[in-house]
Amino acid sequence: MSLASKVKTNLQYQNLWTNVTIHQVSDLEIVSGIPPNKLSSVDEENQVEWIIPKMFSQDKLSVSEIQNWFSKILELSGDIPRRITIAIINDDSTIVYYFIHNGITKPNQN
Amino acid sequence: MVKRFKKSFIAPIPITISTQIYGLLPNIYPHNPISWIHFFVKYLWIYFKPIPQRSISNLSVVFEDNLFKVLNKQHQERLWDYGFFGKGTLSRSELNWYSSTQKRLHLGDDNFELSNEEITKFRREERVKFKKERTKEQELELKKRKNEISESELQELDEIKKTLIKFRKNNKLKIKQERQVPIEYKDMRPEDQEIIDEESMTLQEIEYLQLSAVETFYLKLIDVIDVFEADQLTLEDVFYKCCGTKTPKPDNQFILSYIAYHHYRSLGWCVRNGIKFGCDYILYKKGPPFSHAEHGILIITEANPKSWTEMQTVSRVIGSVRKNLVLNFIDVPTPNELNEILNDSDDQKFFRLLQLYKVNEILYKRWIPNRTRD
Repeated sequence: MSLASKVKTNLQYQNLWTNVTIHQVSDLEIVSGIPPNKLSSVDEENQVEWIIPKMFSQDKLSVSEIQNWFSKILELSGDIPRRITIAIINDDSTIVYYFIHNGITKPNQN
Repeated sequence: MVKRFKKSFIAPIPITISTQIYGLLPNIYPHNPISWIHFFVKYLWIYFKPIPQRSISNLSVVFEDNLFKVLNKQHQERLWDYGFFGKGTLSRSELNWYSSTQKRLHLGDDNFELSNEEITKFRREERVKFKKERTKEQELELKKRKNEISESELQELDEIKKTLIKFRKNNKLKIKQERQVPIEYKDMRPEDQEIIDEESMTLQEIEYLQLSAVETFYLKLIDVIDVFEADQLTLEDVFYKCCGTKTPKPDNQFILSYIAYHHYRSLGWCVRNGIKFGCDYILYKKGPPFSHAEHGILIITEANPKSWTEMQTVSRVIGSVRKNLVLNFIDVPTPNELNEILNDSDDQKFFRLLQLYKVNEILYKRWIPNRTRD
């Protein structure tokens, strides 16, 4: 089972997302899907989210790698998303999700 | 709300000890000779009884797809009840995806027990409601300050303030569960239709218990599991699979993680992964159902020190969830020392390997001079 399909199963059946699709862009697997509710209170409405699956390791993440994700999503959707989500998979099957924004965002009230 | 306390603490590792089956040994009162006799009689009685653990067969673990999976229901339960090993692949910790999905789709019997995930979900929903009211309040307050507020809006503001006070005071959860009509197959999400049999309306089990590398090696080392790939794997096979190489270096990531894991497990802690808090492990006194984890563990070696920024970051995250940060310094042997032991052919060598590493701990805590006076 690839990382992307693990993330897909997790999103579909633990987090109840719909329309979860795996896109293969050259050697990168990108997942897209629609969450049951909007993910952030600043969002106007619920939207398609882009997720990058990653195995947890000691490797360092570079800015150019992140840049590459944004441009690959641009190829896929014709649009640079305001934010993407990175899904970090651990060897005990925990998946933690983090937002990565394209540029600066306004802080919002907790 | 039905809070689940049905689980009681059984044992820290999946080993059944004699006193668990035959009863505890009686107390000895030094001045009372009868208590001595009572003790020895009971001791001998237990001594000559069969050892319960011997009659329990090893739990089976499958190595597939680079993961350690436990598929047998009873084995999953035993690993969870005895020391909280493993994690349900679609649950936060304990396997409860199947029952919560059944509940979500109203399949099978109504189950009034709430899982941790459902309680969290309910709390979040309450928080969303609170935030909505608060935004409304802030908008009206702004209007009031600008003197643009109407009579009816003023009344609304008062109402909202009252509800907000109620929200803030109310920290007890009141979850109402209602018996609901079953959802028809055609009304289900296509994702759910895929895993439900339309004829019998039974749900397919797609979750299993996954053991991490350190858990698997620990359980194999204390000889309570059998690991199968095509054939059964030996302790040595499991070791090299976990290391990810046949020639591990002394600072191999798995070995370092294992040293810390074994250290705390042998001190009686329930050790779970700390990825959610940005550290290596979190330690529970007994296990997740009983209390929150008290300590976060960060592994540091001489070759791979942490910068002050990294330490600050982890320390603040751990502090904000009211845990202590424990820095775990591991002294690593030389490659020769390690290879010498790995070249031995007996299984006891892994205990000698553990002795090569030394662990030192430091509790790292933020001190705020004008707040932490005591």
